[in-house]
Order: sequence, then structure tokens, then C-alpha cells
Amino acid sequence: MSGISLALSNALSGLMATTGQTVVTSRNITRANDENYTREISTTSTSASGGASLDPTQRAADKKLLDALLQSTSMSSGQSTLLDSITAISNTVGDVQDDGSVAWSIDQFQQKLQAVEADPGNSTLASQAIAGAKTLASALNSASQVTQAVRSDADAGMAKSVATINDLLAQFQKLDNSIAGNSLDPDSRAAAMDSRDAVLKKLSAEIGIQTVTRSDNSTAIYTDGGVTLFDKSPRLLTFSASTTLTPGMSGAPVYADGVQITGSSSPMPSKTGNLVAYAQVRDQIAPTYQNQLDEIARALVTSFSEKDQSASPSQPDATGLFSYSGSPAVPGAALVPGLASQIKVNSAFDPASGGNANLLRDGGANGAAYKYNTLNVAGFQGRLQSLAQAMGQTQSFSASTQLPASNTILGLATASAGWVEATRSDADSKATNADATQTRTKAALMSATGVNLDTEMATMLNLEKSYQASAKVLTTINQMLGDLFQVIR
Amino acid sequence: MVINGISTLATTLLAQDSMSSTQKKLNDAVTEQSTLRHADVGLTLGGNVSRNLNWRLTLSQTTNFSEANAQALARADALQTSLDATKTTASDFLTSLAGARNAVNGQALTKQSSGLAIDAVATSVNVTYDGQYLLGGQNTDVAPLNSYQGGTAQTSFDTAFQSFFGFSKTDPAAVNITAAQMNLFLQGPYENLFQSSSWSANFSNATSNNLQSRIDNNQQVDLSANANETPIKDLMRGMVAVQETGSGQLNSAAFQAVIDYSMGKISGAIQGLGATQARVGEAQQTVTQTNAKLSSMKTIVEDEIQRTEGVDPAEVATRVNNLTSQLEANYTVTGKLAKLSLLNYI
Repeated sequence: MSGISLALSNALSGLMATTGQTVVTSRNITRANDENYTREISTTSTSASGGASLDPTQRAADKKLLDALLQSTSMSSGQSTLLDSITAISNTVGDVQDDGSVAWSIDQFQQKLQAVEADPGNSTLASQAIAGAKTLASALNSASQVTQAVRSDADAGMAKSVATINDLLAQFQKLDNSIAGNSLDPDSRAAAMDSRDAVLKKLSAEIGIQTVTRSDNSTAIYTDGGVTLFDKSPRLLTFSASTTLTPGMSGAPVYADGVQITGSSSPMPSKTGNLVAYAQVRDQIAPTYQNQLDEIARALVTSFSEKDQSASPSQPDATGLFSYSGSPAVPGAALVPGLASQIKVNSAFDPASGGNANLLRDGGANGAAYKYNTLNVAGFQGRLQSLAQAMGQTQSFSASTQLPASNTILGLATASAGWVEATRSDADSKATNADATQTRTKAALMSATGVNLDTEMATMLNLEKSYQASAKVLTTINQMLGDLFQVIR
Repeated sequence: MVINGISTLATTLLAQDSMSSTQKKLNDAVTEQSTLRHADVGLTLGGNVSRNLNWRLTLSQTTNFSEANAQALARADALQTSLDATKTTASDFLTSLAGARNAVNGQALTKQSSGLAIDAVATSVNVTYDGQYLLGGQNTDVAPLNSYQGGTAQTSFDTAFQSFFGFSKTDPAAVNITAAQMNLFLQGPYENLFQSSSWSANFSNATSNNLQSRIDNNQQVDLSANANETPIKDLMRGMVAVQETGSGQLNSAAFQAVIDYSMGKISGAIQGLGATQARVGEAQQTVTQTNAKLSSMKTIVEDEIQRTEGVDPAEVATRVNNLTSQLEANYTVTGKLAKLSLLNYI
């Protein structure tokens, strides 16, 4: 009799175990299209009574591959953010054949100036040269404006990134604490671990991270610079966004756990992720480009300034065709932050605002002492010749442009365009590589931890057969018991 | 480790990824096929953008200089024509002087022909081109030569004559002027009337510095002449002397002294004008050579731009074909993979 009842209880345990495995398989199938889902594995083993018993469900997690994915995600998202910002800056350069750029505007203005030089008495040509100068000034203004917009956007991006990171760390804390606290049933625990990995993936897009899993399954997060972001509790990031960012003004750095993690003076700088990319744009790339624009503007203002023409000069040099907020004082040899956003055509020269375009030929915008054309002849060429010469002369530029220190104005402008495109080209190839790496590591992780529907279907078929067999055993035992009762009666 | 096939989701994502990257490449290739330049020239060139930008700006400047130089040459041609006309007037006048030297009515003849010559020279020297006076130096908007008759130039002559001889030029006493006296007057006070300050005050509005023409970024040439140059002064000296001295009342010795002086000045002026024409001609030659240089540079730069920014039409056509086939293959394989599921067999 004990044989039959043992068979009965074994068959029953088989049914139970199969049902349990089916639950896992069905969960695998249901969530096959969730890229954050880690496949679960349910196995059985022999129970003490010889029946089947369900082992605890295992997750097919792979920390090495996850770490690789986190790292490549930081690289990839950082590089793509960097590329977006640089592309915005490079739009001010445009295609080399289009004439919207600063370099083209300088060239066109130079040609118009030469036309006036060839025919100084022609005031139509002079007006055209003034129009060319206005185009040039506004090209510098708008390039400077774009650069500052990119900087402000980067600053706002840093604020948003910091908020996202802090939010994710708070989510992470809840999940991590519940996992480490062992208060969850195995199913919820697996789900919580999936969610925790998903949070890590999101976090890695914002900032490069390294994780360490402790024996109680809790996870500590460090930045790739080594600063603690989370260990049992989050170390929140602090950052104060700038309301306005003017050229030459630097934005605030980001602190984590009291340590500065962005900027050149950071002891443990973060290396990858959106946050770092934004900081790099705000603190390095955009300011360098702004410096280049400012130096072009400064060279223009200086080259077109007027000198006292009196027999015994007593007046200081004064700005001529191009003026700026410091006019009439001529800027010195040092970089003037934001000059490119201020440069404009002196209205005394501009026929559209009641000025006299012939001042370009005659000089004297700052009073009679500055007048070059003392004979008052229409074909006066002296001033125009020296202006044309100044445009072609090499000048010294600040090292903060990261361009050769000695150049012509036009040479600086083309070098600047080259610098922008070189930076973009470099960022583009890095972004492409990082993206490819990220795709590969993601595929590797998903292959190791994701769900293959065919495998699950095959498992399902096995389970179905095994369930049918156990059920058959039950009915057979039932039959046997029925037969036995028949005999007794 | 449980061996698991590649995840179903990964297969789909990878296929999507590969398709979208192929599509992007195809898109770029199609753009390149229509423009025959790289899809994103700035990205392809990278730091070489500054080099190509320089080439393009050089190209634009070269074109601009070619046009400006053509204009400058046309202006120089107009100047040459005007100098030719002045020279012709001068040599005609010279011929008439030679004929009148010994003629009975020589003084009347030369008085008339010199008056005409003065007007003709004023007309040819005061020639304009495109609204500019060609011989005005840098004073391009004022006629270089003032009208002699009734102007301050004539007054200055009258004063000089009066103070030298003690009577006015119309006085019959002029008949007593000897050849020696006449020569003394012509080479002294008369000559001085045409010296720089008196010349600029009475005869000419031109400046002595010419308009320079910039023919490329680093080169300027002088394609002009101005009315203050010696030949024009000599011409006026020769013509005014005959026109004004003695007013037809000179004795023949004094008259011949005037004619001799005048012929000397005018033949000098003809040579001088020839020299000016040669100087301008040489400058024109320089401009023509520069234009040839600019045009060959333009060809070189255009080739370089094409080489670095352009794409090979044959290569890009092949690339479009390859990418299209690749994309089609992608679609087919993805379609087949999607159908390939155990679900379809149970």
C-alpha cells in the first residue's frame, strides 16, 4: 500500500514542479521583449522522498557583461552629446562652399574694400563695403550667439543630468535596500534586481560608473573617477546652474560626496557620460571657439582704428569702422572676452543710419584730428591702402585660441573653421566607435541574459510532456486503486 | 552555465541597427551621387577644412582680381587713347608752327592754331572714364585742367608779361621786344608760371600722386598718369607762349624766338607723352601677365578642390548599387528570421 501512496505523492510532486517551471517559462515568454529582463532559470531536483522538488529560481545574470555595457553606454552617450553640441557650433562654419561663415564674410568684405581702393571716389562702392562690414559684424555676432547658446544649453544639460542622477540614485536606494534586506519573495526579488540593473543602465548614460556587489547582494556605485555615488545610501550630486553665461564667465562645477568631479581643478574627475560631455562643451570647446571669434573681432577693431593725423599727434588711437562697447578706446593686445558679440559697424560710417560711407576713405570718424584725406580729394587712396595692408598683415593672437599665434585675420578665421571641423570629425568618429561598441556589448549581454523564444517553446513542450506523464501516472494509480476497491467489494 | 541561444529580442534589435546604419549610408551615397561632393564635406575633411576654405577664398579672390584687372585694363586703354589724342594734337600743332615760322601772316596763323590746340588738349586731358577724370591723379572728381582763356592762368600770364616788359601784352610797344629780351622772358618769369605751386594754383587741379591699382593681394601697379606731369606742362608752355606773347605785334626775330622756344617745348612734350604711354603700357603688360598667372592658379586650385571635396562618380554609383543590394538582403534575411520560429511548427 505504501508503494502506491508513494507513487501518488511522487506524481503529485511532479505535477507541482512542472507547474512551477511552467510559471517561470511563461514569465520568460511574456517578458521576452523587455530588454531589461533577465531570463530566469528553473530547475528541479530529487526531494528526500524521491519526488521532484523545485529549486529556487535563478537569474541568468552576468556581471562582467553588464559592467562592459555600463562602461560602453557612458562612452557612447557622452560622445553623442558632445557631437550634438559640436555640430551646433560647426553650423556657424557651414559648408566650405557656402558664404555664411565668418571666413567668407571677411573675404567678401576684403574684396569690397579692394573695390573701393581701386575707385575711391565711388560712394556706391563705399556703401557696399560698409554693407560688407555689417555682414561681417553680424556673422561674428551670430557665431558668438550660437556659441553662448551652446554653452548655456550645456549648463542646463548639466543641471538636468545632475537631477536625473540624483533621482536615479534615490530609486536605486529603494531597490538596493529591499534586495539587501532579504524581505522579498524570490520572484519579486528577481524583478527588483532587473529594475536595479535598469537603473544602473540609465545612470551610466549620465555618468561613467563602476559597481561593486557586496556579499548581501547590495551594490555600491563609484564614478569612473573613483568618487562614491552610492553605498547603502546615495551621495547626492550638487550643482548650481548659471542663470546667464557670458563669454569669459565660467560655470559652476559639479560635486559628488563633497568632491569636485568636473572641471580642470577636480582631483578625481569623471571621464565619461553626458554630464562630463556637457561640462567639456561648456568649459573647454565652446570657450575656445569663443576666444577665436573674439580674437578675430579684436583684430578687426584694431586694424580699422584711426590715428591722430595732426602734425604733432596728441590724441590716443580711436576705433574706426568697427566699434564695440569699449569704443572709442582701441582694445590692447590681450583677448577681450565677448568682443565678437559686441562688434558692430560704427554708425558714423553707415549710410543706412545717416552716416557717411566715405569716412572709410577719408578717416575722421573721431573728429577732424583723425582725418587722413587732408587734401579732400575724391580719389584719396592712402587710408584705403593702409587698411587693405592691415587686413593682409600677420598679427599676434592669444594662445587661448589654441591656434597658431601669428596669423592674418583671414588666416585665423580659416584656421578656426578648421579647428571646429577637426573637433567635430574627431567627435564623430569617437561617437561612431563608441556606439558600435555599445551595440556589441548590449547584444552580448542580451545573448547571455535574454530570452530565446525557441528555447522557451522547447522547454514548454518538455514540461507539457512531463505534466502529461505525471497526470497519466495519477490516472493509472486511480485505476489501480479502483480495481483494488472492486475486488474488496 | 546553461547554454542559451541568442536572445530573440537581440536578433531583432541587431537587425534594426544594421538596417538603419545601411539606410544612412545609402542616404549619404545618394546625396553624393547628386552633388558629386562628399555628403558632409566638413566631416570628411576635418582639420583640412581650413586648407580647403583657404583654397575657396583664394579662388573667390582670384576671380575678383581677374574682373577688377579687366576693368583696370579698360581704364588704362582709355588713358592711352586720351594720351594718343593729346600727342596727335601736339604733333599737328608742331607742324603748323614749323610752317608759320617764316610765313608773312605767321603770328595770326599761330594765334589761331594755338588757341585751337589749347582747347583740344584741355578736352583730351580732361577725359573721363566711368565718371572719373583719368588724368586727375587722386582728385578724380574735378577736371584736371582749368580753362586757360579768361581763367587765373591767363591773368597770371598777363601780370608776368606786364611786370617784365613794363607794358601789357596788347600794347603796340611789343614790336620793340628783341629776340634776346623775349628769350629772357620765356626762360625766366614765363617758365616759372608753370612751376609746381603756380601750376597747381592756376592751371591744374590734379594731384601728383596717381591712383594705384591692386592687381593681386600683394601687388600694386600704376596704370595712371596725371596732368601735373612734365609733358603736359611743356605742352602748355609751348602753346601758351605762341598764343599770348605780343598778340601779333612782335617783330619777326622775337616771333621766331617764341616759335623756336615753343617748338622745343612741344617736341619735348611729344617725347614725354610717348614715355608716359610706354610706362602705362608696361604696367598693362604686368596686369596681363598677372591675369594669366591668376587664371592658371585658378585652374590648379579648382582641381585641388575637386580632388579633395569631390567623389568619383563611378565609385559612388557602384556604392549606391552595393548598398541597395545589401539593404535588400537585410530585408530578406530579417523577414525569413521573423518567420523562423518554433511556434510555427507546433
